[in-house]
Amino acid sequence: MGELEVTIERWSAMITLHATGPIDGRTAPALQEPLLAAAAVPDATVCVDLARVPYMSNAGLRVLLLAAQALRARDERLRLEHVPPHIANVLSSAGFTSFVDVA
Amino acid sequence: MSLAPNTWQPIPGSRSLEIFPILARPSIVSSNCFIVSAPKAILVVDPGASHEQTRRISDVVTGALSVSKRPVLVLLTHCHQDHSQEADRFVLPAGTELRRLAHERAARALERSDRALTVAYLYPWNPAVCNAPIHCRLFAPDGASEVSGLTLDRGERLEISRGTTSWMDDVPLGRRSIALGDGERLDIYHTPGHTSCSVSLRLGSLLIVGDLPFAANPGLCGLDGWNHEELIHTLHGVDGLLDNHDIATCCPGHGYELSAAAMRYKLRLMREEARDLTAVEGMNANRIAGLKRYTDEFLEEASALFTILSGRLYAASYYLFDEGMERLTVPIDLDGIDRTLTEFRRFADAFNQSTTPELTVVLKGVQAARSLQEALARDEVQRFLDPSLVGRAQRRLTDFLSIVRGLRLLSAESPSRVNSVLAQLVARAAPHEDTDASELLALADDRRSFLDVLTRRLAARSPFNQVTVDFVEACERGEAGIAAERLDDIVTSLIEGMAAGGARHIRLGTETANDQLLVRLTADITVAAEAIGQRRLALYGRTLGWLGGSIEREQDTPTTFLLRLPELSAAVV
Repeated sequence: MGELEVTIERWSAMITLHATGPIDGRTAPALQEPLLAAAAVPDATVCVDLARVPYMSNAGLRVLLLAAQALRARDERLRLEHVPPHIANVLSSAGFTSFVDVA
Repeated sequence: MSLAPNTWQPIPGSRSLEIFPILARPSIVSSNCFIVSAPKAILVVDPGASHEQTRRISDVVTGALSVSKRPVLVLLTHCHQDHSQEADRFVLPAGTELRRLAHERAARALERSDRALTVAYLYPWNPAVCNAPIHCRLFAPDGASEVSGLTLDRGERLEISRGTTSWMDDVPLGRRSIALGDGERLDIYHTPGHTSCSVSLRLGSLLIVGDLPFAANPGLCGLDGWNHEELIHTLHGVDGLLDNHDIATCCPGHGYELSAAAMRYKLRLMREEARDLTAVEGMNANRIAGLKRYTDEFLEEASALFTILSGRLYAASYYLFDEGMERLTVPIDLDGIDRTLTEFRRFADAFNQSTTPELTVVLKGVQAARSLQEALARDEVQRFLDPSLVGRAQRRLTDFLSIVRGLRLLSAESPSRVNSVLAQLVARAAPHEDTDASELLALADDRRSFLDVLTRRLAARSPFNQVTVDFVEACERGEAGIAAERLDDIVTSLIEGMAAGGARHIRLGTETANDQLLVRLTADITVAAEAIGQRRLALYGRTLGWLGGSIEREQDTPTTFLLRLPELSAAVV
C-alpha cells in the first residue's frame, strides 16, 4: 500500500476525511488540499479518520498542523478519529495532543 | 576529468587508449563495467552480473573488433558475484580470442564455485558462480606457477612483467604489467582488503579501483575474504599510488568516478573508519538475516524518534503562529529527514514483494542512518531541539551503524547506577513549568532571538505532562551492565508509549530476583502493544539480549513491562 486515498464525508456541519494509505512526504499533498479546503468551510467541524493509515511521517504532521492553524483562526480544533496506537504515540510525544483532539 | 557513460573517450595520460564506461545503477546486484580499447587488445574490466549489461558489452566489444580485430582480455577486480557472474557470457564474433585474468585467489574461488568468497549466497535467486577457466592467474603465492605472458592462438604473446610499486617511505603493492602496444601499458596492483583477491588497474592516469572505496562500509566489512590488516596496508599503498603516478581519476566498481583529490579524501576517511575495525564480526547468511530484522526494527525506532523531533518543532510553530511565524526557520532540514525516512520505508516495504537481497535493505539502512546523522550533526540542532530526544536519536543511529559494521560495542558498555538513572528520569518526567523568564526577557528587544528561544522551549516540552510516574526503589543493589543512557532511552520509550496509550499513572520500580536487577513498569490501564510498536519492543529486547538482559510484557491487565537488566560484565554480543 504505497498511495494515499482520501474520501470526504459531509454530515450536517461535520466534514470527515477518511484517509487510506501511508501519509508521508510523497502522499501528504493528497491530504493537504482537501483538508485545508474543509478547514476553510465556515462553521464546519473538521475530522480526519486515520483508521486505515499504517504510517504517518513528519510530512503528515505538518499537514495536520496547517489544518489546526487554519481552524484556530475561528476557535475550532482539528479532530482525529480512530488513530492507530503507534500514531497516537507520535502525536502525543510530539505535543500535538495539546492542540488537536484525538478521539 | 569526468567520464561520460556509454561512449568511447580517450584515457588521459595515454596516447592511444580509449575507454567505454558502462555504469550500473549502484547496488550490490551488478557492478560497473569498463571496456578499454588498446592497440593490441580489448579489455573488459568487471563484466558484472546483469544480462542486459552483458548484451551491451557484447555489442560494444563487437563494434570495437570490427574496427580492428584483437584479443579480448576479461579482467576481474575481485571474485564477487556482482563483478564476475557474466565473465563467460559474452557473445563475440567467431574466432575472437578471449582470455580471462584474475588474482590467483579469485581464480581458485571461481573454479570451485565458492559461494562464500564470491558472496553468491547473498542473492535469493541462487545465481550460478562463473567457473569458466581463468587463463592467467596473477599474484600466485609461489611465483613460479605464474605465467610470464599470455600466449595467443596465432603464436602472438602479451608479456606480463612483475614488480612492485616503489617510492620513498611508502607501502609497496605487488604489481603486474601487460604491454598493450604502442608503448601503452596496463598495471595491475594487488590491493587486498575488501577481498584478498582485489586488484586495481592503472591505464594512463586512470585507476580502476573495484570496491576498495566501500571496503570500510558497514555491511560490507566482515564479508568472507575481508581483512583489516590488508585493508590498512592497501589504503596507504593506493594513497602513494595516487601521489606518485599522476593519477587523475579513479573509477570505482559502483557509482561515478572520483577525482584523485576526492579519492585521497576518501582514503583518509576510510583510514579513520578502518582504524577501529580490528575485530569485526564476520558476515554470513545467518548474520545478514539477523541484521535485516534489526534493520526493520531500527526503521521503526528511527521513524518514531525523528517524527517526534520534527513534530515538536511543528507543535511549537502552532503556538508561535500568532507571532507571525507562519514558517519555522530552524536549522534542521525537516523535509530532508522526511525524504530519507520515506524512501527507506518504501524500499523496505517493497523488499517483501521482491527478490532483493537482504543485505541491500541493510545497506539502505546504513545510507539512511548516515543521512540522519548528518541532519543532526549541526551545532544549532541542539539549541532548538530537546537534547535528550536528540541524544536518543543519535545513540540509535550510532548503535545501528556500529552493529552493522560488526563491532562489539555493547560489550564495552559502562555500567550504570540504576536507581539514580531512574530517579533522574522521573524528575525529568514530572510536570513542571519553565518559570525562568529571565532569558526571554533579556531578548525582548531582539525579535529573532526571542522567537528562537521560545521555539526551543516549546519544542522541548515534556510529553509526560499528562502522566504521573512514581518511582519505588526496592532494591539496594545499584549497578547493572547497561549504560545509563541506554536504560533511560528504553524506559522513556516505554513511558511515552504507555502515556500515548492512555495511561495516566505509571509505577516504576526496581527489585532483585535471583541476583538479577529488575525494573518493572506498571500502567493504570491496559495499553495496546501497538502504542509502542512491536518492532520497537523487539529492538529493545534485542539490545537488552545482546547485553544479557531481556524485556517482557509481564501482564496485560494492567499493562506491566519487566526489564531484566544485564548483570555486570554479562554482555554476550
